[in-house]
Amino acid sequence: MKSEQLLNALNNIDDSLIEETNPFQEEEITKPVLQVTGGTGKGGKRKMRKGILLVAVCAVLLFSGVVAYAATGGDLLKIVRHKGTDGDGETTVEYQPIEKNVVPMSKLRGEIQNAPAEIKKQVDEFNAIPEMERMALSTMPDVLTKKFDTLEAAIDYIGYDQLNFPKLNYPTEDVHIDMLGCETADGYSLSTISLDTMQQYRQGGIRYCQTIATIFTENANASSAMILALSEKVKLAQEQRVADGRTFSILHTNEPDPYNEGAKVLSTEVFTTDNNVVYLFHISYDEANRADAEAVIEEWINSFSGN
Amino acid sequence: MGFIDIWGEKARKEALMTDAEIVKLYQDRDEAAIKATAARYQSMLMRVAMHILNDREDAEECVNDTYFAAWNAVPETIPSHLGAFLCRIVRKKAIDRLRTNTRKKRCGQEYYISLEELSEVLEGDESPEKALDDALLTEAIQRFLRDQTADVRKLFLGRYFWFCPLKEVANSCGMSEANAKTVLFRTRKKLREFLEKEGFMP
Repeated sequence: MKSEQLLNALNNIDDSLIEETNPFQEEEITKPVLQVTGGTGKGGKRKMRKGILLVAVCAVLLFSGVVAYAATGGDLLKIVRHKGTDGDGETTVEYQPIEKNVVPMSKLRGEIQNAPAEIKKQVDEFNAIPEMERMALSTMPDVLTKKFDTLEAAIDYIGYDQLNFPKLNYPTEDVHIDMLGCETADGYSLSTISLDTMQQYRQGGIRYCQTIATIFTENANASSAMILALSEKVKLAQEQRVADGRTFSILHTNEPDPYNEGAKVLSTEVFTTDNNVVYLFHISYDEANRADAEAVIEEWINSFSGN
Repeated sequence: MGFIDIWGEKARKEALMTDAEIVKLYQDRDEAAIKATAARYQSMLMRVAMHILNDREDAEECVNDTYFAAWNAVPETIPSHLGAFLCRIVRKKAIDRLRTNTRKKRCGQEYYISLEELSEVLEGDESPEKALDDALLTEAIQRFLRDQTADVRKLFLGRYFWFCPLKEVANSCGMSEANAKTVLFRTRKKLREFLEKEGFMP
């Protein structure tokens, strides 16, 4: 009982002492992020991004997000170093504000027009779950993902006649569309649509390349941009190429990115825009196979000319 | 795929609300306060409750009770540190529940280990209810803790306020388990001497 008295007395100590010694501080503001990525914490956006980044880079994924975009001197890529305390910072690469690249929902003629209703149903079902149970779920009710057997089927589903998705002649392993729903004055609609393919461009010591075509609708946040996140100290090299009148912004990692744990590979990202659709190409390769990768990059760039 | 936007504007806003914004919701009697509190603090509160109760269902109930208690308390009490305020509530609720549970079954190992370790600090025949004034005892413990180094405070409160397992609290202070054990032993001894000097012991 006496020690209980002590424990009770401890319950009334100053807030400042409680906060100072809080061993769980890093877990504040985690819930939504935990649901998306498997964990992050306070320290806000930067840490949140890193958590996502671990997933994103490992899966060789890029994503669009909300950022305050400031175009600098006409550069298409904005690279920002976010310093961490112990090498845990990150580098973000932002590509183009979307206000120039909006595709109205009305231009999408495929079955995708049914997606908002499906998302609404998901959201309604989610909201019907008791709040405390909801918090433990990793569901993202406002995101709808559809998988397809072929790239053509995915393109038909969207039904945008200006979608010139580059077609590389390599085995395709995964074709899917992620759609982000949002509430509008008229009900539900879509704000972002990403068509994503993964292709195996080399058989021995398997390597992948990935193309993501992102459509921002009129419902997307005006300050959205494509964002790629890398580790704080990764060495990058930028270049621009012009092919058939189209500009390609290219970013090479000059050494393996520590975020890409275990994978001692280099990577190149290529960004471009075509008919208001933002395209992103990612390819990973060993130093020894840089030339092979470069050939695939050229192939990807040139594939726009054939469309 | 959206990286923040994916949650939708509303969820993101709730998750990123500051303490002051959440407290304002409580003051306005807006039920969104509970959701915003959960978005920001649920994980932390669950861990505090789990360390004491070692039972997920009980811990969840305590955390729910904590939101309810905060809802009832805030119009009159304006917490300056919402996190600490909630932790204090959930800790108390979890201990109360543990006491109730203990009548049926012994559980909540970390609480009992902490209790046993602290028993050497306060000894004597006199019942503490008579001998100690809770508020004065709290104030004395605070003074004692403020005289310790930050690491010792973190270790001591990590163990006896937050009920973290020894290994966990040692890790959070960058110590080995054995080292943490020694530091805790010495700190308890020093606390006992301090309380004796302060007249809390017979």
